[in-house]
Amino acid sequence: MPTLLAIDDLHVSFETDRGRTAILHGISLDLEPGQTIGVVGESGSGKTVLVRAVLGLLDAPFAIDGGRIEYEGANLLEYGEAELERIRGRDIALTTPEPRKHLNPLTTIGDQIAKVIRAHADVSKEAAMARAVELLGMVGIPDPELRLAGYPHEMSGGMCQRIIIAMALAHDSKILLIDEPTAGLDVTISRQILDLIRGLVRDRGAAALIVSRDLGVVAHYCRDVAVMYAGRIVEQAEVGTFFRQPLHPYSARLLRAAAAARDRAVGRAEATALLPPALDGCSYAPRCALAEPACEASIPGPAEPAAGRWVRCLRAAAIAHGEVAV
Amino acid sequence: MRFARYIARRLLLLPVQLLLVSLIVFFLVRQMPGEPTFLYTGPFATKERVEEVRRQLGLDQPIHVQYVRYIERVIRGDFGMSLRTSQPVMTDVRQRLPATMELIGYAVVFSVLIGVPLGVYTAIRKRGIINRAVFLYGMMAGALPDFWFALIAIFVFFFHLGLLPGPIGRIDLMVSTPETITGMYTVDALLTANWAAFFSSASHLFLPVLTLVFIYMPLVLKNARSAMEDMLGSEFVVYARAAGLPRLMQWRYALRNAMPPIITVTGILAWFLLGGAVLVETVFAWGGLGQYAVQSVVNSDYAALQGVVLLSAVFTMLVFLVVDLAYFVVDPRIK
Repeated sequence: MPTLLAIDDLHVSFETDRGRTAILHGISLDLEPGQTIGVVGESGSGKTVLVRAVLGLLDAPFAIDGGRIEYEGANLLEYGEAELERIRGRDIALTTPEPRKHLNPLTTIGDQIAKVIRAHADVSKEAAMARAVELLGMVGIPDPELRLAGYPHEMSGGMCQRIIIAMALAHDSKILLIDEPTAGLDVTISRQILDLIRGLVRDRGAAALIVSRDLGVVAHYCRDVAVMYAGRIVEQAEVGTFFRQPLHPYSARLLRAAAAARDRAVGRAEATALLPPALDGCSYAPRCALAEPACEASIPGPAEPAAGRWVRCLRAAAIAHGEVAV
Repeated sequence: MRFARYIARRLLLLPVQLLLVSLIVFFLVRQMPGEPTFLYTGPFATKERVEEVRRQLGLDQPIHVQYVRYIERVIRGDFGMSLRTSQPVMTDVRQRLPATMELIGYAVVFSVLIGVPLGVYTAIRKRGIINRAVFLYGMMAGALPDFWFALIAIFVFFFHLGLLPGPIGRIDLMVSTPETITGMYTVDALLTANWAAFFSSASHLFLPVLTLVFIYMPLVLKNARSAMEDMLGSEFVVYARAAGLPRLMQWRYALRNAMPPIITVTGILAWFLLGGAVLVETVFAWGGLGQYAVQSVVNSDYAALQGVVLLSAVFTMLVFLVVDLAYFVVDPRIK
C-alpha cells in the first residue's frame, strides 16, 4: 500500500522562560488509504500537538526541531503559509474538541460553513449555502436550513461539534484529523458521526487519524492504534491484537483503567501517583511496576515483536511470552 | 424591536440619573470655599450690601429650598445666570459647547481612523521597523503632557515654519464666522459652502487636533492591538486557519471580534476629552467648554458650574448609550 501521509521522526518543542521543553520526541506514523489509526494516551501526551503539527498550525512558542511530514511526495514542514493554506481544509481536514470555542461567535453558522467551502471551491454563495445544508444533514442536524441563520451561542455543544465535523467534511479531504470527536456528544450521535467517517474512509480511499481518550471508540472504528506517552508513541498495533495483548505496561494500564471505568470502579483503579515522566531512559519507568535499573539507563528503541506491531519497552519480549504479568 | 425598547428604557432613565447628578452637584458646589456674592459686590462691600445681594441671589434661603427652586427653573429650561459673564448659562454654553465638540470630535475620529489600523497592523506584524516605531511612540506619547506638546507644535508649525495660524482661537480675525447652524465652524462652513471660513477654521483646528490625537491616540491604538492579538490567538481564528481560510479572512474574523473593546475605549476617549482637553483649549485660546468649567470653579460661579456638570452628565450618558448600541450591532450574543 502506498502511504498517504508519512510522519517521520517528528520533533517538536515549546519555548518557555526557562528554556526549551521537548514535546514530541521523534514521532513516526504512516497513514495508508483506507486506514484509520486511533491515537490514545492521557492528557499532555502530545496527541493534539501532533495533529496540529501536520497542518502546520504550530506557531511560536512551538518549534519543529526535526523530522518530515510527507504528503504527496512533498515535505509539509517545508511548506510556506500560502502552500499550507491550499492544503488545509481541502486535502487535510481537522476537527477539534471544544467546538464552541472554535466557531466564530459573531457570524452565522451558514456564513462560516460557506466560507470554508468557498475557500477551496469556486462556487457562488448560494451554491455554498446549499452544500452547507447538505453537510449539516449528513452530520444529523435536524432542520439544517433553519440552523444556517443561527449563531454558535444558540447551539448546544454537541450541535457545535457536528458543525465542526460538517466543515471538515466539506471538501472530501483525503486525510481527516479527528481530535476528540465524541466529547460532548451522546452515544447515538457519536456513533452516527463515526460511522459516517468510517464510510468516507472506506469508500473514498481517505484515511483518518482519530485522537480519542475513549478506547471503545478506537476499538470499534480504527484499524490500528497508537499509544502515546510523554511525547512518544510507545506502542502501535492492529486493534484486535492490541486489545487482546497489550505489550507496553502503559498500554495495559490504559486498558485496565478503561475497564475499571466501565465497571464504575474508577475510584479504586490503581491510584499510583501521577509521577512526571522521566527525562532519561524510558519516560514511563517512574510509574511502571515492571521497571528495572536498565529502564532508567536508556530510551528503549522500537522493538517489533510481530509484523505490523511494535513497542518501546525493554520488557516487551518478557511480557509477550507471558513471563511477567502486566 | 428589542432594540427600540432598550433605547427607550435608557432614555427614560436619563432624567432620573440627571436629577441625582444635579442633587449631588448642587450640594457639593456649595461646599466650596468662597461665595459668588463677592463677584457682585466686589471685595470692599459693606456687610449690609453683602446681605442684600445674598437675598437677591436667594442664597439666604435654606439649601433645600434653593435646590427646589433651581430644579423648577431647570425644568423650564432656565439654568440661571452666570455671575462672571452676566449672561444666561444656556447662552454661554451654546457658544462654547460646539467649539469643544468640534475639537474633540475630530480628535476622536482621527484617533480611531489612525489608531485602529496601526493597532491591527502591529498585532499582525509582530516584527519590523513599523512595529518598533509604533511601540516607542505608544510608550512616549502616554508620558508627554498635552499642553507641552501643543506649545512645541505651535513653536514649530506657526513660529518657525509659518505653515499654520497661531493660537488665537477657532478662526482668523479677518474671516467672518460662518452662519451658525451647528456652531461647529467647519461643518457650518461646508453646509453654507463658505470656503474661506472652512479653510480658516480647518487650519486653526489642525494643531489642537494634532496635539490631542498625538497624545491620546495610543489609548485606542494599544487597546486595538491587544484586542486584536487576543483574537488572533483565539480558537476560532486558529480553526479558520486550519480550515484553510485565507489570512485576510482570518484577520477579518479577529477584527470583528476585537470591535467591542475598541468601541468601549473610543467612548472612554470621547468622555475623557470633554474635560480632559481643557489645557489644550487654554493653550489655543479655544473658548471651549472646558475653559468655561475651570473659570466657573475658580470664581464660584454656581449656576455656570452646575449647568456644565449637568451637560457633561448628559454627554457622558449619551456616549455610553451609543457604545451600548454599537455593541448591540456588533455582537449577536447581547440580548
